[in-house]
Amino acid sequence: MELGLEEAAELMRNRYCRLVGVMGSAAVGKTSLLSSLYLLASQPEGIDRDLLFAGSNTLQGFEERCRGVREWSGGTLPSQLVDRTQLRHPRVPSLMHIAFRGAASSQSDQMHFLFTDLPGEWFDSLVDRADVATRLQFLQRADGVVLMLDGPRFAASGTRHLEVQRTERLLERLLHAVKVGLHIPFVVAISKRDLIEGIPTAIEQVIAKARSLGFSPVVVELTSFSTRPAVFPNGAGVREILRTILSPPAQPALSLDGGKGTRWYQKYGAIGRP
Amino acid sequence: MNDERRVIFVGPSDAGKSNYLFRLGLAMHSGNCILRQHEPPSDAEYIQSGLGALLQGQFAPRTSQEVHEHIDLPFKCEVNGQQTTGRLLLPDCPGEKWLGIYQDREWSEEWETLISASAGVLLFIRPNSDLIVRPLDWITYHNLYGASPRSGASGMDKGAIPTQILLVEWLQFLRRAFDARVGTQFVPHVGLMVSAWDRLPHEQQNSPPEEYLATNFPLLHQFIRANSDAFQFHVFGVSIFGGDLDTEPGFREALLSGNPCDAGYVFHTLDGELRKSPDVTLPVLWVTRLLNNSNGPTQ
Repeated sequence: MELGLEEAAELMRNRYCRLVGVMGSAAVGKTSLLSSLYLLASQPEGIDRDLLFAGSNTLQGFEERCRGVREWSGGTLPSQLVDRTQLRHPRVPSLMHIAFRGAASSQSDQMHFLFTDLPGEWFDSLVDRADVATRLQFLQRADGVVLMLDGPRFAASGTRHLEVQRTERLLERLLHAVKVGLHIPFVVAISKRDLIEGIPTAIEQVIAKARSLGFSPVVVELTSFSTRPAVFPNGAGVREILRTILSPPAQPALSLDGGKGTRWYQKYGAIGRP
Repeated sequence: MNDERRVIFVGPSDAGKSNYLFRLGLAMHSGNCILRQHEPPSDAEYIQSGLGALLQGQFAPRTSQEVHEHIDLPFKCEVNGQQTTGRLLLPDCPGEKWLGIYQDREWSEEWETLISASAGVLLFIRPNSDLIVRPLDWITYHNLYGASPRSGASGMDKGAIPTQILLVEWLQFLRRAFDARVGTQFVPHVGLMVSAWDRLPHEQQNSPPEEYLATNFPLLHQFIRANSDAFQFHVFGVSIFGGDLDTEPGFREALLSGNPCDAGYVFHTLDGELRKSPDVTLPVLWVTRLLNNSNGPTQ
């Protein structure tokens, strides 16, 4: 269904895997991102014209997440990533594996990804307590980070200030307590983009904070599942996240937003997807 | 006659595995295909029961869940002037067994003994089967859930595993089994059998079978393209009689008024061109390496 630490280590012994930490509060859309990735890969056009689905050791886990069959079990969440023996539990913190291969015949190497599937409560706790970072220290070797921000909560006046403050604190924890590498691709994904009009200005504060800490954030507007598919296509932003993780680390000199130092991958405004 | 070739038939229920097996037996018995019977099989009870149905103009009934037959057919063939004789081992087991392997993520020791360097795989899909489960797509998703999992998606039918997911998982299991039993360097031949090819819309019947996969089983098709170093794949479109005994008016009578051994065909691209061959043994010849792509027949 999914991989525990033992199985992930076994997989990584045999081949290079990119470990991607998918981070964010409860209900921000982390599972939706994984489900959307899987659904995109299942479509005739695939995740990307240039990337072919090459396999997954957690195919059943993707399928069940997509169908909402596997839900977090609330108050009984384990406090650590589990090992193999616990994987039969209904839903546990774990890793999801998926592999791709370049469509060109010259690209023979498969690209393996391990995405974390962790409860949002872990990140909410990390904001409050630095010692919670011990359970996330495996992310020190992460090859990429996807920090998910809840678009509607960053847009609403009643919640945005708290979201900014808690996200800034989370960024500090990621750097100082978890010790996530500064050199790795760092995606800031604005989730539920279809539910908001425009990019909340409060996001800029978070981006500025990330940059001040030394991260090189790449902003992706994400619509894992769209309520307005004519304007915001289903899965918009997912392939950009994948591409960012595959790309060399972001450099501030590559800024596309008027010198603010943040790379914006693609904007999905009223004109829809190009 | 110690040349032993095995063909592992893989597929969900109602995919056409047993009907092809019996049609293969009929073709070998008739002697007008490349792969022919060398001598009568010593234990022919199971295959005779299936042949009996076909020769009376009926499809074979679904394989019982208890059935796990090992068909042993002495064969001979001549390809490019080279004659080969040997034994063809064809285990037949119901699709439910394959579903169990998917659900439990483990297989029996008996099953694993089938894996060897002389083994090829035929993976079956029957397009018009009621048991095909289509993959989730965005439209289905919206119909089922509204917008997304965040709007409350629980309660989905846990048993409705899309057919292409089953097929990809089985291929992944087979690769691991070949790694363990034969070695990581061994590249097994896998024939993807799109059965009941005659039931496809007419405009699709003259297209390469791989196109059917790309359109209807896109994840499986991507997997095939991305794993060309782990398996050697070929997609066949197969019709055991060239028509439908159950639904096509007059077809059964026409079949029985002629020679059923001459009916049926295989669409393939073994020599790079789309061909329609009356030799239904071609997929077995190819997966057992008795026939290579380069010396594929041109009929």
